[in-house]
Amino acid sequence: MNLLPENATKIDVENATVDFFTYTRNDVTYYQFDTSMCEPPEPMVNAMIGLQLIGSTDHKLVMINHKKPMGLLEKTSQDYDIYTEYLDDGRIKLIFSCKNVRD
Amino acid sequence: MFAINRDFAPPFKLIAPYFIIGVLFYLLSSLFAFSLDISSIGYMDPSVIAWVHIFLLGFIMMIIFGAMAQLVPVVLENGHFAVDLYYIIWPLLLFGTLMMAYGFIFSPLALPFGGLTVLIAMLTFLFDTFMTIRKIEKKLNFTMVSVIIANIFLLLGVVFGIVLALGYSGMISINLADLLKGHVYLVVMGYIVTTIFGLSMVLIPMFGLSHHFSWRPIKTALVLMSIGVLSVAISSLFDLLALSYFGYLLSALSLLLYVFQMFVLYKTRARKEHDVYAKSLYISLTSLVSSFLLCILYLFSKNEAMILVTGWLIFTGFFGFIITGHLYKIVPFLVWFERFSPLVGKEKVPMLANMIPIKSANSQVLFSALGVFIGAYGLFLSNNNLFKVGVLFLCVGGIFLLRNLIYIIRFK
Repeated sequence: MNLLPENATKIDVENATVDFFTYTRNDVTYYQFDTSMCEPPEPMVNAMIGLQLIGSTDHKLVMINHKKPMGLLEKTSQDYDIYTEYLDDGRIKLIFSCKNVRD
Repeated sequence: MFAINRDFAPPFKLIAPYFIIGVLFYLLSSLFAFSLDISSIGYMDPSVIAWVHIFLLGFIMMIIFGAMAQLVPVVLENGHFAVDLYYIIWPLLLFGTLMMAYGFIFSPLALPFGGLTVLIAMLTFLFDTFMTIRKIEKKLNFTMVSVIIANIFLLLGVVFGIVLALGYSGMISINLADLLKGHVYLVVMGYIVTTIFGLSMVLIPMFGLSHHFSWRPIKTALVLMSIGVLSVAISSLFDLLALSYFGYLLSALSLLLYVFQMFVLYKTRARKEHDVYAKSLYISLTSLVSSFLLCILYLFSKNEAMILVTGWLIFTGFFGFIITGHLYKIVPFLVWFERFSPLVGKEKVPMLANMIPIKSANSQVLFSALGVFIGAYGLFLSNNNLFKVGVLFLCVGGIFLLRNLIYIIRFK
């Protein structure tokens, strides 16, 4: 299942182990990556690298993962709002945004 | 970036001795198997009991305890009550195991002392585990329940064991054969197998990326195994033969359901790679299924060699491979977490697969598998030479395993 919008473009993210894409929607820039085929600790590694991309309030990070990354959520929930959504195929979609950003 | 309380993530230097000593015992048990004369021994022979204790206590329990140092907080979602207790568990278990092996081979008088030392090691482990369990505030999940049940069975098994050791050395008069049955069942089925049930459902879906699967087979398996173990333990105290057969039947059904659950996980996995971990699991489960077939053969033939082959396949095949397979996931993760997690986002870090010497790991799987199955065939035919060929392969597999473990621990 392709979860990327048509205007998504691939970007180079240093030290990431999966492809990162970016797109804009409602004046918010999204960065998205998919670690649903990766075993630990790869999802966490890419998430921590991806979170460095959303320092400003109009940026969000979208992570597609095999399951809810409990350790990652525990570590990041103080600094980020995290929206989670279960996909029909059993995977999970997480959207990270800085605490003062509203969906 | 990854600052985590040490009660949740114990330092690797605390856990590493468990894995290193465990693998050394794996090798030692293989070397010791050269001394077994399978043409004349039965399963109650002191040399067989010594081998079983070296393998079970030195290899399996040592590695399970080490893994639990890391996994108890993950599974119970609470930090250890007193994680520093793990610094004294492995020396006690090491010393106690060696003394028990010495007792079985050379002097039964050493058995109560070895048994007491192992008892203290296990009680220390149980104290930390039960005190950590007390901290649980959430609704219990399957793995938490299996950890609780397994540890209650371990406590009972240890008590049976110390009574047995006193009886074996002649200090008290008891029915050794009956109590042995309860002791073996409580420790092997009650603790080891129940722990494998619980941890399998955390680790195998995590590394195989399985989701949307039914939990019904494993939940039923846990209930059947618990009733089965209790039935055999009670029958060993009161000499109730029918109850013990009822227990064996429930345990066999439980293990079949476990195999079926593993098949469900296999069919629902997203990660199709047949890496060294997956290969180890295939061999482990093949050994378990083979042991079922031999048990059925035993019912018709009443040939005691079948019991030895079944035990060999369950110990070296089912337990051996499920543990060595997980070492290729757990140890790299712990080393990665300690050495590379602080570098995430700053520089490129290796992934777990990069930390495993692939050729050497595949060699370990191949030689150990040949060892398990050739050894089993040798036991089946009561052919000493064939058995020793199997043991030789197992030793080579053990040397590869030790080499791989050191490679992973020293990875930079």
